Order: sequence, then structure tokens, then C-alpha cells
Amino acid sequence: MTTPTAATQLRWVQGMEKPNPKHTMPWQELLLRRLLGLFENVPTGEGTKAAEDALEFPDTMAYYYIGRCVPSFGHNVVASRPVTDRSLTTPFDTGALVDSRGLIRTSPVLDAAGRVALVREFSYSGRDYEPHLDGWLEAAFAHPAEYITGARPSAHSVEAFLLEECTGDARIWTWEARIRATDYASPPTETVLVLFAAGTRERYLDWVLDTELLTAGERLTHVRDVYGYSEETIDPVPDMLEYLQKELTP
Amino acid sequence: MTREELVGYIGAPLGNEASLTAFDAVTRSAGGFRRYPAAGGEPQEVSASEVEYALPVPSELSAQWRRGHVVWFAGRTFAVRGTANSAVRAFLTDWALTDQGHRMSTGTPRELLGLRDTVARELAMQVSNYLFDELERRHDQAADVFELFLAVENTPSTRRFLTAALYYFQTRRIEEYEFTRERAALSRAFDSAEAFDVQFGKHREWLATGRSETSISELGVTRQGAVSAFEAQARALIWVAASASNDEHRSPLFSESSWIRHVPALRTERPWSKHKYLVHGPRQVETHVEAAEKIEFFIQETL
Repeated sequence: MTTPTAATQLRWVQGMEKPNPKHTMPWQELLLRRLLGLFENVPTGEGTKAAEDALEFPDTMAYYYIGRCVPSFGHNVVASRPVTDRSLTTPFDTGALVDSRGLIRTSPVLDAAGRVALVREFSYSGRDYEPHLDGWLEAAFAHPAEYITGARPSAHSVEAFLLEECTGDARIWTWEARIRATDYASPPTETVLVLFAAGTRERYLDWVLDTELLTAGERLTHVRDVYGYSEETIDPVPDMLEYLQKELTP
Repeated sequence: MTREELVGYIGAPLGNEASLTAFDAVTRSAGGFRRYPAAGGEPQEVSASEVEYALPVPSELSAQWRRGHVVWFAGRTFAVRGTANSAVRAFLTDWALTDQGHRMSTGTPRELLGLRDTVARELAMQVSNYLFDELERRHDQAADVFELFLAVENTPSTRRFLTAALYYFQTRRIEEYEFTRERAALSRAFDSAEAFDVQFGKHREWLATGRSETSISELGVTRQGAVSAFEAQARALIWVAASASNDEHRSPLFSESSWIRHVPALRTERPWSKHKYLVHGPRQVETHVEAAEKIEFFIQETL
């Protein structure tokens, strides 16, 4: 049996999406689709779509932050562990690399093709990212749990990144996992914990029991599952951070 | 020093159209941006890049915001349903109307909790009345009030599950009833489904049998101000008749004219004219006369 390391203990996290007036999916459906791995119809933000095009991703992707909550608020937040080996993981937010504001500075300076090549070079398949993440956590922080809080590392995992010259926030060094945004027969991640803001879990379940996306049997199973892995809290994201830190602290 | 001002909120209107909920308030001051969590707790710093997640608030809200306030939100479906309900309309009319038809206000999380509790209690009573009172039995009305109730009572309270189970049971929605029963236990509102069964049985029995004995004084008190005392008494009398009629088959027994014929004291006042109550029952004339006698006696006693 493999000994758990920080990287294997760090959960994959999905939180609040940036508001988009063009989107019409209710928050309950977005959450349901995340929990069940039904990503086909989840709308992609304009910024994300532009980034995927710029980086020549062949497919639309669903994204997770590894071990971090971005943004630092939201009315529900999901922590899960991967069960698929068809994921790709990168030691930075790929969208930040192609952001028009130039949030990430590199040496040498990269053109569009160079950015595509960099993302390909640092996209680890399946669980291959874990030793790289462990090595970096060990080298860049006094304790791996500092990473979870967004503390600045002493060095970036990608040598070409000029950390002191980058102008973006912690997403620059936050590890990103991504999977193809399709409907999976069984969820590609196993949900470990969902935190709901007080007063929203019952409303989510009211919606679940009415949705035609599931059969009656599936609805009941989902309701049981949600009660099993979720809690209501006053402020979900700070509480999720606390949970993630505890996972790394023996 | 710059005064702290409300600049937006963090939350999702999409999916909350039928909800009464609270969103985090986002404020700006000389010290930067802060977030007041919807359900309470300490304000948190928000980075400039994260402010992109906030949505704008109507200007009225910025004027009324005070430190510690969060943003209260009533979705447009809730707001429309609420206009037909006195308990909801009473607080919602003062809230700012947005371009999308939602209504918003500001206040502390604690104040919203208090408001929810008061309104949920009233709505739960209305649901029971619409489901159980012979004279108020209106399943279409019950459906609207029930939706409002679920939105207001949004935490896993015993009241939420008992009222939901009652609604589904009385409207013969067995699958939803079973779901509710299971949720009552899974949410830990009840120790087990069996514990829920016991309490639900008592609750239902109480509603089915207790009202005719207790409602006369209750109606007189709780509905004063809404209807005249005489109307309240008359409605209570009709209640007595209803309990005597023991309806299951919905064959007409009492009509408005028969009330007039059998209850002389009501001939001139006709308090029920606003409430077209038809009382039905299988026992025909005997029950009719018996109920009328009870009514006449009661009128003599009370008037």
C-alpha cells in the first residue's frame, strides 16, 4: 500500500463560477452536474473558451483547483478525489498564462506557440503530477499546508516563471486539474465533502427532487449521497480551507 | 477616511427565482473591499481581482446598508407568489424591485432569521388550514403557500419536514411523501424515520381532530383585524357544521340559502357572503338540522 503524501491528500476543489449574464444554468444544476460528472452541457465562460482556443486544447474542459479554493468565497464548494486516469494537471492556472493582462512573466518571453508548448510540457497525465507536486511543496513552503492558504511560494514549480515579476494572484502557482467536459457514465471524481451555505442544502435537494435530469431512483440515491458527504456551514469556503489544511496535518 | 459603502453582492440569482435567501454583501472603504457572509460570521477581506465575482445592487440598497448588513434576496417567482399572501406581502412590499423582477433589501443575518421564523410559522398554519379545514380546503391555494413555505423555511427543521410530509400526504403524492420522510431522518431533524412517523402521526391527528374544538376562540383572536369579530365567529360556526357533516363524498348539504333559512340571526348580516362556503356531507337533512341548531345556539351564546 502506498504511503499518503501531501499531493495524494490534496483534494480537487470546485467552487463559485464567475457570474456570466449569458448563462442560464441554475446553480443547482451546475452543482448536480459537477457531483455526477455530467459536464457536457455546463456552459464555458468566455475567458475560459478564449484560453482553451489560445492553448489549442482539442476539447472543452472541466476544471478543478488542486488543494485550493478560488475564489475565497461562494455558497457551495466541492472537494473530491480523482478516480479517472484521463485527467491532465498543470502547476499553474492555464487561463492565467494567456490572460491578456500579462499576469505571468517568463524567461524567455513566450509567444503564442511557446505558451502552447509550455502547457503541453507541464501537463501531467493522470496521477503523474503527484511526485512533482510533492517535490515542489517540500521545496517551496515551510509546510505544505501553507500552499492551501495561498501563501507565496519561495519558487515556482516551472523554472521559466519569473515569480517576482508576475502580477497575478495565487492562481499563478495554484495547480490546475482538468478533464474533458463530457457526460461520464460514472463520475470521474469521488466527492469527499460538499459545504453548503446555511439554508441552501435543503433548497438544493428540493430542486433535485423536482428535476427531470434524474429518474426517481437516481434522485433518491443522490439525496442520500448528498446528506452523506455534505454539511451546511456559515461560510463554506473558509471552512473548506480549514478542512483541506486538516487533511494535511497529522 | 472613506465611508464604507455597499458596492455589490455575491450570490446566484439564477436558480433562486423561487427562493427567499441572503447573499454576501461586498463593501468598499479606504481599507479595500470586504465581504459580509450571508449567514453571519466575521467580515472577510476580498482581493481586487475577486470583486469581479460581485454583482451590482440597486442604488436604494446602498443607501440603506449599515455595517453588519447582508443582502436579502427574494427571487421574482417568490415575489409574485408572495403578493397573493398576506404574510409575505407584509414585509416584501418595502423591498427594492430590480429590473429582473426580484426584490432585495438589506439587514442582518439575525434579523432575517427572525423574519423567516415568524413568516414560516404563519405559512405552515396556512398550509394546514388549506389542507384540513372543511371550509378552507383549497389544494390549489395550498400548493402556492406550500412553495412559499419551503422557500422561507429553508433549514432542516422539524417544522419543515412535518409540513412537507403533511402536504404530500394530503395531496396523495406518495413518492414525495416517502422522500420527505427519508430526508427528515437523513438531515438529522429526526432521530430516525420511525421517530418521524410517530411525530407525524400525532401532528396529523391533532390537525384532523383538534380544530373544531379549539378553533372558535382561536379564530376570534387571530383573525381580528383581518375580518370583523362577527365574521370570525360566523366562520367558526360554519366550522362546527363542517365537523358535523363529516364529508367524504362531496354531495352538497348546505348552501348559503339554507344557512339563512335555518339560522335566523344570520339572515340580516350574511357574514359569509364574502366567503362562498359550501358545506358538504353525506348525512343530508339530519346533519343539516343538527348543525343548524348548534349554530343557532352558539349565536345566542356569543351575540
